[in-house]
Amino acid sequence: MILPLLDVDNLQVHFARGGGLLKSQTNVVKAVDGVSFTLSPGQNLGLLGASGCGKSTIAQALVGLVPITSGSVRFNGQVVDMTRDHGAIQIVFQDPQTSFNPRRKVWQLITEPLTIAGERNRDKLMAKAQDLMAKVGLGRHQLDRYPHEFSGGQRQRLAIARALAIDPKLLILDEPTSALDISVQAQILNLLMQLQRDLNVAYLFISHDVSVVRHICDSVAVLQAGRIVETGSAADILAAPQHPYTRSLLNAVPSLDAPTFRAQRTSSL
Amino acid sequence: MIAITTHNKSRVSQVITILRDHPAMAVGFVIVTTVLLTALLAPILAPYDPNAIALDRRLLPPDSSHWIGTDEVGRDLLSRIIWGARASLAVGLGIVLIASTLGTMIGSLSGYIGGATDTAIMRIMDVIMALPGLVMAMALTAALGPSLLNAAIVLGILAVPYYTRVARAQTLSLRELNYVRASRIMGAGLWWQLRVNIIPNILPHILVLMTMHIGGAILAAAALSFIGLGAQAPLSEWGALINAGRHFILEQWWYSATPGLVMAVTVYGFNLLGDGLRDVLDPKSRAQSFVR
Amino acid sequence: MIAMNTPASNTPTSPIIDIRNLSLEFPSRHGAVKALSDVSLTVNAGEIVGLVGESGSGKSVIAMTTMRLLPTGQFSVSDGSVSVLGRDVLGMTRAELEERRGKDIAMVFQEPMNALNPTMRIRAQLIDVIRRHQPLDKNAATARAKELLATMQITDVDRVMDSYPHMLSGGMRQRVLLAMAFSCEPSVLIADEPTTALDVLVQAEILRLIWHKANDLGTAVLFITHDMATVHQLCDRVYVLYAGTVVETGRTADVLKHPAHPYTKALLAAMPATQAAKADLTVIEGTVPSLVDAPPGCRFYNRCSVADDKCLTRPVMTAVIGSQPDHSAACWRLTEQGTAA
Repeated sequence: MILPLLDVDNLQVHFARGGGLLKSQTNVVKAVDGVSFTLSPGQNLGLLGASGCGKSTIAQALVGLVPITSGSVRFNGQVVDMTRDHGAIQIVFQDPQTSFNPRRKVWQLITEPLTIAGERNRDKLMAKAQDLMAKVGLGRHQLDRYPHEFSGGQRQRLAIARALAIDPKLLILDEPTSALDISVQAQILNLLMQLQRDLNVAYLFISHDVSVVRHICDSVAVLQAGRIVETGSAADILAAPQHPYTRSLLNAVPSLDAPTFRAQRTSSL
Repeated sequence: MIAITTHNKSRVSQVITILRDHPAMAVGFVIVTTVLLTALLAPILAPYDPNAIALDRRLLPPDSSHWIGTDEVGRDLLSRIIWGARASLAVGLGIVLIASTLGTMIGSLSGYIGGATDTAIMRIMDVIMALPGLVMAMALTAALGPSLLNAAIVLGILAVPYYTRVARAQTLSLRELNYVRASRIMGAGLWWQLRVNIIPNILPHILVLMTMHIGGAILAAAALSFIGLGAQAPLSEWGALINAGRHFILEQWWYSATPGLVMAVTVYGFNLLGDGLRDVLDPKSRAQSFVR
Repeated sequence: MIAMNTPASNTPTSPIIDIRNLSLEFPSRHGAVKALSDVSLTVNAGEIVGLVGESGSGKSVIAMTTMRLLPTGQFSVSDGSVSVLGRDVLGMTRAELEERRGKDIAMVFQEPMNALNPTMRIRAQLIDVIRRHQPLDKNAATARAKELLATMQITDVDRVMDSYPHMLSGGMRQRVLLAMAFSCEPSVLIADEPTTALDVLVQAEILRLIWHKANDLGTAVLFITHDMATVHQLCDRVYVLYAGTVVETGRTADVLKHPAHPYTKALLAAMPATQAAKADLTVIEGTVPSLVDAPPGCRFYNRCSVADDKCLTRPVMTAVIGSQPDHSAACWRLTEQGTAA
């Protein structure tokens, strides 16, 4: 068996929520409540769930944006603390509007991970920027532009380019296509699949969209209220869900295969 | 102000378009530009040496050689007002620069760090804001020694909390944006975040505040000069001029009235410019003030 | 069969919403933005009609025009007409509009928070809406409000009535707005992406709610969405919009099973659900053309896989597809002329 790239064991993330202006008591929200999963190199794991299920909190904990309450995260076999170890895991956010500093040029933005790591040689950064632009299907002539000159889909390409700047082995994709039109979503999904073939990067794909997860992921973990209720191969689970929550999630999502409401009403009469 | 919007069009044509859409701002722009040019070109524009005493021509009424007359030692009032623009603008600008620089640094730092540091800093700011401004300014300037520079420093420091509040509030909302979070994930430290992500993006708000503040700053400095704690003789400054003319207000009313009017128009110009700038750079707050 | 820009309506009763050859522009510094070009659309009594398109296709502009919600002076109708229940909407006075809105025609939006007054309790807002169009006293209106909320599958009606909007979840707010929209049993409801901002599970509930409520009351619905799967489950007929033009329309089953226009085909093939896992999805190359100085001919020309130079010069013709008279697509290649060539 191959060593897993990412091994999350009994992850807990709790938030203290204040009881209001005058109440001193606080209650604890268990946003992530004992989640364990592994992800092998070059594989895709989908975290599927409705909003508030904890899937985005897991992403934020893995990149160190929120502190872990308990549990361990092993990356390449080593325990990591992402508030200190930067770079190995990168993330692409849902909203391409706020993903870039509006006052910086594209070449500065997509090479930011390198600049922060200490690289100051402008020629090296430019060369890297050109390479990254080519990888995500954008032109090098666009390097001197500002992010607002790009469409939502192009900005998501830039976000992917920035995430790839330090050759990560794992990319967390937090609803990367939810804010995009269908035809643009198709472009981004194709790009992600192609990059995976070329670079063997693993994806942790966070989504509420069953059809996208089914399309792109090898395995899937279904989350409800901070816990995994069902996990296994994407094809199996999404074809024959065992847990009632997974079933209700699959039934809820509008689908081209589901019967129309009119047909449902007629048949129930 | 143009560096704020980043389009490919030439900056000059952008300014013209913006001014055409905001006529009140255009008026403010013209006033402010005129005053700035007057201050800059004072040596050329002023018909006389502002400090040249001519005791034989004391307190003359306006005529063709002295358009606004002369003061009690025969100095040309028009020349003194023109040179006074330098002192008044410089002290206004100085106050605003001191307050905005300190306020932006403290506010963004406080907002980005958060926690107990933030609370402590903001409580100190609350204390400064609770002080009666002009009374404190008078006391401190008197203690430091009356001079225009000391007045600017004191008034500047007393205005720091207003900038701190704006900078902090903007930082708090920026901190949650994806690009700031993304930089954090890449390992960006405090200095990188403030220098690259936070301060450049709160500058438009600070700039609006500066333009709205400068009018008040000129007035406050004039007030200190009026009571003798600011500009010292023979330096010409608008507040000091008004004070000097005070003794002759019944006979030679133009002595005080002219610098007063010039100052009022200047302050008004800065306020119009500030309002317009806010509308252009920060349309949301306009909607808010409309509701209020 | 060739039909040139004829409205596809063949129902005996006159439609509730009848938009004919509507062309609408927004003036801008760079020239007129042709937001809608020659759009014809009907919604008949009791029918649920989908209006599907990607961002910038003009679907919300159609809704706003039908409600006359576009700010006066910031748009101009260059051609065509919009009528609701046989009355011209574009020529209505403000008083007539206020009378019609809510009573004959209601609307729900994507973001329910913006449509509610944050400083008023739900109770007061609901009663206000009810009494605006119905001669009820306060007690009767309160009873009616509770009844309406109950039909929106709200169980704790009293708590919701006494809440301010910010105390409710997005789904609950949308239910309240639907209760308001249905309060005067309007002839037609315009729903502009009412579930897009909601959680997946809540989305499904709201969709079902709209369908059942409309079906029970006989309310026609113009449902605006970007999601073909939603259209499939909810809508009887569909209009596919691209860059301000209707490219295809017909009964939902016909359009989704036998798409004729290259854009509709590509849009369906871009959906992951229609392709095998990990297979490359069909990509629509290029971007939506600028609607400023839009050239004559087909708006989809620059992204179409089957287009050639003729598509630029020929007027867009509407072809009837198959044996279904309701099903038509705006592509000259699908007309007899095109298939013969």
